[in-house]
Amino acid sequence: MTPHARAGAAALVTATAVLTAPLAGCWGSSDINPFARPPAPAGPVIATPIDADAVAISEPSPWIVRYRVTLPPMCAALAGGTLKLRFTARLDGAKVDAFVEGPRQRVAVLHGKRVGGDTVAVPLAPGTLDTVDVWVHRRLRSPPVIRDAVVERPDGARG
Amino acid sequence: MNEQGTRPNESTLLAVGGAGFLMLAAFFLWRDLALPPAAMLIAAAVTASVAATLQWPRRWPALAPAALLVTSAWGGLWYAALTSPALLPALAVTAAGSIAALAIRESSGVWPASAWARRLTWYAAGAAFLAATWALYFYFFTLGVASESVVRRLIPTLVWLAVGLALLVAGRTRAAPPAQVGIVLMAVALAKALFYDTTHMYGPSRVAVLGAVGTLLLAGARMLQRVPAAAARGDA
Repeated sequence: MTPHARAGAAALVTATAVLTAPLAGCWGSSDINPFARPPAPAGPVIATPIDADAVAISEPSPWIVRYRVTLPPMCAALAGGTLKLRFTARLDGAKVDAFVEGPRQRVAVLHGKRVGGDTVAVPLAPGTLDTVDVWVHRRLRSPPVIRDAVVERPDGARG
Repeated sequence: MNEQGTRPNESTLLAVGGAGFLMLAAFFLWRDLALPPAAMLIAAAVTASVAATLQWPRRWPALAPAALLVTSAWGGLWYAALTSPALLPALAVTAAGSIAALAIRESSGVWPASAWARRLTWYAAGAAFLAATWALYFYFFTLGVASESVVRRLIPTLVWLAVGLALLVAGRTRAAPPAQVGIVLMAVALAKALFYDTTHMYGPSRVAVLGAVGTLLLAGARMLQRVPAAAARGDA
């Protein structure tokens, strides 16, 4: 083997190792990302499922899917609650905007947040709320399909 | 037409026919195996990388680098549209293959007579590097360890700028392929710093990225001043 061939082989091995070693955890199963931040441990929560009829789905543009979730009356006044929209597939880094609406307010709580997993967690602002408006920028991905929706709040919070 | 004159046409017809049947067989094999679409990109990346590394086919030396360039552009656009993790291995293979092919050719110093082979090999390596680093950054930083920190945004800016400057200095003249790739990488990094980082970063991190970009550019200017003689000779 000539020195040039050895150098080439070494370059091939090095470049391959450098570029592919970090991918060991992401090929085959997209659920595995060794570098992903582990979720923070949460205390006990009370979960209130949202009825499927309470979610209105529309496409204001070909690239965006909009989910308007009408909160049940018992969730109208929450302290530290979170609305979780779970989808049937991962969003793979789609941008998400979310707004919470009440009688006299519309507050942006998520602005261009990248979501890699299959769940969008929308923090519910304090006050009386009746609707959560979630915009998923799907671009050329297929429209995300909701698996279920639930409002979670810490056990002991006033509702 | 005599017998000698008809042979090349017949062999060409047979070759085209054979290639057509092989492509048909590959199409049906693909369909029967029901592979995911991303596997198509991996197959293209591996084929183009092996061909470029082995410098095959000898008759058309620019073909494999051109295939690598198309594969990296295709993969980069595909990832930009879907950001699917299944595309990452193909992008990494394309980058590794194009950089390995480039390293082998440059270390041996033997290039085909056509200048396009060298140009396309450099362009393919630059495009594959850009697409792979962006996709890996997005997966491992934007969605991974630094999902809550906007400081991550300075990483690709500085990496692309540093590599671009190094290639510009190494290329010595703007007409040389390494310098052309370096200029493109620098342009991407500077555009990102100017139009994205200044509006999507805040406070100390914005000051840090702009300061680092300025420092790198000044360092590059100083390094370029040390090779004026070679540049004046037009030595590529």
